Amino acid sequence: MPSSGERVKALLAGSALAPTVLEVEDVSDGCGAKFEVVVVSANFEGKKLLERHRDVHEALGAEMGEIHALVLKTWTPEQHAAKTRPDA
Amino acid sequence: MASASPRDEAAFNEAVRVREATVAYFRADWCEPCAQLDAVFDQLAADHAASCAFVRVDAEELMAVSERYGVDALPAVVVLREGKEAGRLGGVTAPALVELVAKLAAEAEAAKVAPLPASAPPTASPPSSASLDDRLKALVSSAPTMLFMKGSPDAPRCGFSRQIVELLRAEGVPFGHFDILADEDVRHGLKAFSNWPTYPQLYAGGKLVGGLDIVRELKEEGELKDALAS
Repeated sequence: MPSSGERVKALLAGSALAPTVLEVEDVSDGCGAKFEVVVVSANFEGKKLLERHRDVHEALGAEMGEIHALVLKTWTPEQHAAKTRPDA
Repeated sequence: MASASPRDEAAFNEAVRVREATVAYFRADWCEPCAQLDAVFDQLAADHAASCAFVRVDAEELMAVSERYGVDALPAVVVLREGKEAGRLGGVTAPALVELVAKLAAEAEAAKVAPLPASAPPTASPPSSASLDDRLKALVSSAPTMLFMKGSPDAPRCGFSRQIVELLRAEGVPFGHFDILADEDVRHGLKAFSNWPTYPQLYAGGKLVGGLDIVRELKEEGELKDALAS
């Protein structure tokens, strides 16, 4: 099965990351190979970017094999608030 | 030898139980690049039926077979001898498939002309995983900053690899590079070695810094030079 945005979203939503904000955008014109993903999770607190990305890869599991490109933003709730503040 | 499209695992096992090289082509109806390759594969199977066996596998119908050979993306091409994997195609494109089959056919011809049953072909035995680990360890440390990418900095073969090169150059960071498309062992081995599924991969002091997203974010936060110096 080709990957789909809904599947990616469901896998991440149901993962241990328990994201408070989750945006999945399919940027591959529907062929399911390229996604832009924003994950905001308190679990990222105190973790380096590398570990955060690994957490996301792990949550996606076998689905990673179907995905050719994943553009990730992994933020803590605090960082997310700072990034989305209009005057930031 | 012929072209087969086995409907189940038993039929597949039967089809690949031959001494000749078997080209197993894993595909699916939904896979767009497969549509073009289907035709190329059929043509090759017709042209080279005398020297190789050809097996077309519907990867999802024969899920157990796909799993046995670790096929996790389509299209995939695995070369089998007596059912055992003897090689596989990295990037499956029509020209790569044509080249592979031409090579196998040439080998089959050479074997017919000069049968040397006693002497094993001088192909190197596949490196054991221990020695591959050593090799990877040496490779990631072969420059203070080391980029594993698709293609070379001046001729990148993937948009993400191109972007990371541009970013490093804009930062004025000198870096060594390795083209993972040129070496299947490294390409697969490094993913497991570093528990990181994609390329490009940037290393500093032999440690994985991350892929493009991480490097870009570090740059935006002004932390890239520190991360590379550590």
